[in-house]
Amino acid sequence: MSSLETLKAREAEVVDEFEFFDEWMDRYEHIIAQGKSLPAADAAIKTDDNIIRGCQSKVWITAEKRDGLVYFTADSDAIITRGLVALLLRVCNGLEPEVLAKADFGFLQEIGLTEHLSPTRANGLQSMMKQIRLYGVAFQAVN
Amino acid sequence: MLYGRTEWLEKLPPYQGGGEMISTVTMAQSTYAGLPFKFEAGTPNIEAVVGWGAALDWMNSVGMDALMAHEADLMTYGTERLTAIDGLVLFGTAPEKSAVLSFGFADLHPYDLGTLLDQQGIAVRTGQQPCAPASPRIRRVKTSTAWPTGWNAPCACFANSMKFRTRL
Repeated sequence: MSSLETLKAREAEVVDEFEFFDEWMDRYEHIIAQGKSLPAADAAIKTDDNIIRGCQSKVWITAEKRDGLVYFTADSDAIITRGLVALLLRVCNGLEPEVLAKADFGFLQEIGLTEHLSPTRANGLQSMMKQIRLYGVAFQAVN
Repeated sequence: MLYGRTEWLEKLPPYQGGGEMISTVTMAQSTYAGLPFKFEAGTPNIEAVVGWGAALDWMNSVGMDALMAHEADLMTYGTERLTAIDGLVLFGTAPEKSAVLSFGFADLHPYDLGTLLDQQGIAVRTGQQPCAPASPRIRRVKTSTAWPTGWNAPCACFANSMKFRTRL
């Protein structure tokens, strides 16, 4: 499976999961569960350089390239945001930088998250997606 | 309230244009109206003033004593209900405090709390305390009983009981 196919398959899997819930409160519980399952990141990544601007709560994202694929480490001090980060990492980890650079993360719109979140949270989510794309762009240039 | 001395305000150029702030306009130059009109560009906040007048009329018709009693009743009720919640920390418990309840939980981010309350139809303000610059000072006097140590929290949820006009 190509990186792009993997991304699409993972996105579809998340959409399926969310379709199971009718109520937003249940969707939030699912997001929180995702956040709890995200391994706590090492304190060393929690630097000002790794902080995502435009997020109300603190979000740190860093990435490294191994064998041509990009792996992210991220954390947040708020659990819902942590859940959103976990969702993004679930679909993004271990993909080729070329695919990440162009990822539109349409699944977030499909599950209604971009519309449902408060404007400040939605902005924060946009900033996280942008940062992931930027890592994709940057790692295309690095071997 | 912001005020300025006439001599300085006369020297200060307008920072916004439009409406009654102008005196004459030609292609070559403009002259501005005198104080305070020079700084009152655009349409004044008319509806807010009218609305405020109506609010004052309503408050007078109900009576300030009745309003105070109602607010005090809501505060007591709100405080009782909130403090009954396990793990909830109430910030600010001075006896004469106004009708604002700030609260948080040790292991819960206020933005998370705000979002989850919102899902249940409860509106609270979340985020940094408006008095954030005062927080370091408050921290230094945290042993004082008037200021609970909870003020060390970077942010909290606020519920203004005036906005909840009735008991839940």
